[in-house]
Amino acid sequence: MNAFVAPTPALLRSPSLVMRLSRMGSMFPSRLSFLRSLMRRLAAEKVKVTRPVWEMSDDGFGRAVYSLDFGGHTYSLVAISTDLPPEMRTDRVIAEAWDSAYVLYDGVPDAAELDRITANAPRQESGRFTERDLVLSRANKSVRLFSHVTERLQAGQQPDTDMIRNVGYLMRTTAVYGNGKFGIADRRLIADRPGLEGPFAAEMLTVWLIRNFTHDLAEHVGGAPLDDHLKRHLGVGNSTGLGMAPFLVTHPVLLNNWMLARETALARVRAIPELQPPQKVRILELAKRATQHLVQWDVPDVEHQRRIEKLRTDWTGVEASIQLYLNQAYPLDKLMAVMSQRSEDVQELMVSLLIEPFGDLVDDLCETMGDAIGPLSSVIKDTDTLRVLIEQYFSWAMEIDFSAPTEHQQFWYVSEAKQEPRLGDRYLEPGSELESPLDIARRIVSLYEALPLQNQSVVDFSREVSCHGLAIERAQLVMRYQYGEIQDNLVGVGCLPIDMLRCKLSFFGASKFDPKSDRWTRITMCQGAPLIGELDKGADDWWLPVFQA
Amino acid sequence: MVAGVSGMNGYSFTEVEGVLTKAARGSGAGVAHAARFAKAAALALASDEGADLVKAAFADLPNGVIRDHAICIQRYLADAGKGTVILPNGDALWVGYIDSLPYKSVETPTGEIAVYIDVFAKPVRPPRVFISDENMAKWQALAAKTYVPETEQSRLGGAGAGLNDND
Repeated sequence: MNAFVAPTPALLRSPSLVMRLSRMGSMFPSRLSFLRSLMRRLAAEKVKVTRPVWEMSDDGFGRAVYSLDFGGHTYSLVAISTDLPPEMRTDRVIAEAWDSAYVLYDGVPDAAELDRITANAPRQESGRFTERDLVLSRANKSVRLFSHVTERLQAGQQPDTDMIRNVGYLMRTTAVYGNGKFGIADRRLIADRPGLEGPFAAEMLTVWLIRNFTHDLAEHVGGAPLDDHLKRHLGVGNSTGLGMAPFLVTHPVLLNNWMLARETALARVRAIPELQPPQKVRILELAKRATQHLVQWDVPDVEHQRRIEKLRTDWTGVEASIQLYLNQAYPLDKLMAVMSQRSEDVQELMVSLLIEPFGDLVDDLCETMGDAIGPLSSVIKDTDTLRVLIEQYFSWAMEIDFSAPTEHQQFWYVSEAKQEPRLGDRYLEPGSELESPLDIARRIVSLYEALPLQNQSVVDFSREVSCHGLAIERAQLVMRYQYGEIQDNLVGVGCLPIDMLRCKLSFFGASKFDPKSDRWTRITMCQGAPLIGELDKGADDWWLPVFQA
Repeated sequence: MVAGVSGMNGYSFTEVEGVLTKAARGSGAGVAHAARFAKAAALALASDEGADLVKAAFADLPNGVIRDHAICIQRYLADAGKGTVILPNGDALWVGYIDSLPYKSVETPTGEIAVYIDVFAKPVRPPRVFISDENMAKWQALAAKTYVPETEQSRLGGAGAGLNDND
């Protein structure tokens, strides 16, 4: 590992700049993303994946088991493929049946366990699971591409490369459940295991194995192998909605650790005084790759397509100017500084690019992105101190005029039907009296206004006015976890949940964001990632994958 | 349902914590107090007295231990400042409150509980929490008081809405 270059605190971009929704909604995956770090771990251990069970009909219905040894433990993906009538195929969370269902299992399931999982996994939320089941998921086929691929293979041909590039996956997951849902293992039971310490590592492992299953299934039905370069571009699609958004608000320590790791990585590379020739070449290569990736990123939504096209244009200008800075002192700091005049999309793409060539300098930060012990909040003793702290750290919230109806027009709630997060209009829909506590800014302002003129202990104040407990907790956290708070009004009419989704999904390693509204998006995971047999050769060079026909 | 202890069913810690958080909120507890109670109660349910303590806590709302325990611990931490904090021992729910802090806790020779920051000490959680059907049904009913019926507008805006899923 290279010598650690300690950045000065001034080189960290401030939370007031970084923690805004619009910027979070401009993020791209990076080498710190959880899929990337998992792949590096798998590659470092030269993990071999076996397929001890393949009980599949000719038309691709049945079950399979994939097993691997990783970090001193054995894990298995149980995959169940079902003949789903077209009228039952929906990506909605209200669905009750899917083309395929999956469990990541702790160990290798024996016949009885395999039967138990086969009976329960297709039922998903209405099934019941044990602590041996680590992750639960399901996926539907991209019928158009799956049919095309299998028909071509049956005809002795490879599939059309344009279709592979345009769709990018054979199946898309509609949920990947971890951490105790429906009886599966709590995250804490596996959080210490080598390789699974990182956030969502078990879920990412599941997705990568699912991707392999989709390849195997298509080859099985098609009766012939797919070319590896086509398989490499076939990731796993995903439909993600509001269910994911509140996580960033309810897990401030994790959000802080993710964002702080990314900002620290950026600060470290900005502190590099001089670039070596191979590093300059690499940066230019990656900038060109980003250009190609943007060219291959098309979405049906008119507004988002327009945004991508603007980014393409802007980025072309940026790519041409990068060379100007690479020979200067502190080249990446200067390059990032001039980016501040560009759009947030350009800036955040540049952040991911600049981090990419410097694994030796930044990859250790992946180990800081979990939350092993919980929030270590500072105890604030008196209300005068609390007032000063709010003024110092929550000025962004104090600037919001909550007397304006539009600033609390939306409310988050948990739906009765699926017990999933939803977002409603306070003035048009019932239920705002039961809203979920994601209105952090409003609560902070309310707390501030309620603080007594006469100083008193925070404990006594809490006892007298118990409705401010959450706001006090957040204020106590902010000194230690300065990147833990989204600095925007999450109940204002201007809040777009898609920004929260993109931030979180970029940390997962998702690309090709394909928003379908301001509340849900399709994405692609694992596109360009190494195949199961490729972990020992170049497993870490798939940032912003580009399809080569 | 997974059979575990006779007459009881096993749940993940996260499931129990989630239900109890919502149940406490549905019963009138504040957001922060509900969350702290749920962590403590999920730990307390591993003891013989746990279920009765949890039921009593719900019965006492909006007052009682769900409000008082969190405030009481906060007072100990605030008064002690930095370093090791000595807390009194108590019933399983009180101990649950202490053990769910992000600190290491140990019993002192005099029967009190000392808590201190140990960044290498990971919180201990049982792999399963066993709860009777009757209690779980009651707590789920209380949790349901925090749920909102979906509107058509909401359904139209959800993930997957408005697309042909057989594409």
